[in-house]
Amino acid sequence: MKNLDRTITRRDFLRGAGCAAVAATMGIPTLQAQEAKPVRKTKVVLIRDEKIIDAKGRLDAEIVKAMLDRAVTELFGGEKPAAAWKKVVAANDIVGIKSNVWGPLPTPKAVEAAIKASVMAVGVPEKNIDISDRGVLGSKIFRKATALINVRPLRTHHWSGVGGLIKNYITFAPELWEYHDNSCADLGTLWRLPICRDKTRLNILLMLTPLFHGIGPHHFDSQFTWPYCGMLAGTDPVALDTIGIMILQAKRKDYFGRERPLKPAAHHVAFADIRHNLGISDPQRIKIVRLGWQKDILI
Amino acid sequence: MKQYSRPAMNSLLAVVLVSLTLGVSMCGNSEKTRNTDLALLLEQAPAGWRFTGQVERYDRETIFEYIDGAGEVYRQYSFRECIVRRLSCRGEPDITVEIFDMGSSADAYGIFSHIREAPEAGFGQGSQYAGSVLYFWQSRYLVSIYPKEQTDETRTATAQLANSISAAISDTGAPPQLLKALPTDSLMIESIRYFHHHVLLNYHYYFAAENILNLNEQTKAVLATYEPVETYLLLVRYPSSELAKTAAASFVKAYLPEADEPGPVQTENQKWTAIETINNTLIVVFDAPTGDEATTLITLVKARLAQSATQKGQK
Repeated sequence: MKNLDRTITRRDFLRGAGCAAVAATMGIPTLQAQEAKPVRKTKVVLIRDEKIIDAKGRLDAEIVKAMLDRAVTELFGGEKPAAAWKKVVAANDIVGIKSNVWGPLPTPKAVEAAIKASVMAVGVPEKNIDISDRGVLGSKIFRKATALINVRPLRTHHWSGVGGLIKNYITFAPELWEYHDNSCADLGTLWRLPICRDKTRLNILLMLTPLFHGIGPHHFDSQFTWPYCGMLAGTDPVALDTIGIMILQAKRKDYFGRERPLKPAAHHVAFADIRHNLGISDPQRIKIVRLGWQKDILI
Repeated sequence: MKQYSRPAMNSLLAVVLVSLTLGVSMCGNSEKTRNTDLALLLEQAPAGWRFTGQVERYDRETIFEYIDGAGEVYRQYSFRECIVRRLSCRGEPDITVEIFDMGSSADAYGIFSHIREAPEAGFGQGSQYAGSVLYFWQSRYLVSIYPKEQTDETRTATAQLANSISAAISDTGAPPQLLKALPTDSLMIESIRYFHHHVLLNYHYYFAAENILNLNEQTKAVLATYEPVETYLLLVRYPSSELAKTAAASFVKAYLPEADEPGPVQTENQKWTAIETINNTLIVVFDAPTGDEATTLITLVKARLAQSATQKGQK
């Protein structure tokens, strides 16, 4: 599927082999299973804890920290979380924590605080850390950052299919609208901008109360969220968005009682792989490590 | 080219300037309210509610300041301007009202059809409740009214606001002409989408990464689904027959390269795709259960197009 010199059409997805990755992120069922070949896989950690959200919808900060530590330890190795976090950042790094402030479903403060605490525990002074979303271009820390941590909730989006980790770097662009063409097909190119290129050490896709459906441009409706109580962590934003989308699709099937592809298709995730080589979108090349609460895991 | 003397030219200029100033269009009755201040369509709050803040105004360039990238969807139509008003009532969630001037009734219908998912709600010329949000279209306007949360009070106020705005708009507008070409048997009404651009075709039926049908602001397209097996019918009206033929050739090359003769082609999902042009209209059937059914659907469309042309000729 990579490096096609012709237009990619629906029929390519239907053919299955070599296109399952694209189809998976677009909600188009393929007819053929891919050949099972031994391939190097990108690792994604899915961790869940049913107690992270209480009956009133409040996050338990201690569980947030514990989940992050466990996910990072699984991902980077080390006997204790402190050792694992030292593989994420070093004491002399300047660290930007790229958050998301979208009103109905922002990155929770408890998550931001837990990440910041872990970074500071490595030895990074507070003055060398910033947490921002829409202010990144005006932030001295982000402008001279040597390490980025990308964290946001997953949601469906009326124009790009989903708002996930790839899209979260849109605010690094001086002109956001330049990335809107063709349902944001080429958001993957954001990651080549000098302010963020090759700086991302960790991606965390929050699956605490994901938005799995929406109607119209405003889109958010709490009836289309559910307490999945999870987080996805990894170094590959394409793989994480892909797994996140697969969970959303499974939830949509469960909720609507039939296959209901995302509208629009989140093709920017597939194109981040096949056009821009940002990461892996083929589920067969993604190794999922499942930790914690397993009920209704959907993947 | 007709030559105007200087006095005649001055008179013409004067007429144009007066027309523009007064908001009187020279393009016919349907455009007579072109310069209506949208705020005039919502001057009175329901009993117990009051407006908060100023009227917010956004145009094609500033819409992203109000809605993030999703604001792009309005720009896929001839969207001109929108106003936003917020209302509050003690002890109740706030309500936000948006009125979009979509430039034409066809495009007001279009944006509504793009959003439509739920059953008709009984406001304006077409409406739905999407969760707690009420959308309706009327004349060349799309209106959305959304309470922060749904309560009995907000639901009542939402309906009152909708009726009040509908009355203020007062006139109605024609849906797109091309809808008349859709065969009605087994048609899923809520599946009808009207649009201009390739990106919205992909939104409702992911077809190709690139714009192989050469869709643009000049093209008028309708996508609809037929029961019982989801068969998709796409109609595109181009500015000329030549452009329709060029698009058909582009489609065959990219999507049906094995089609060495006219007629339906079976695709990898064991369903059938067929394409034909008649004058400046392109007709495509996707996912028909049999080749014959694809052909029949196209034949029905052609008959309706011919009937429509005859009626137009008689007028």
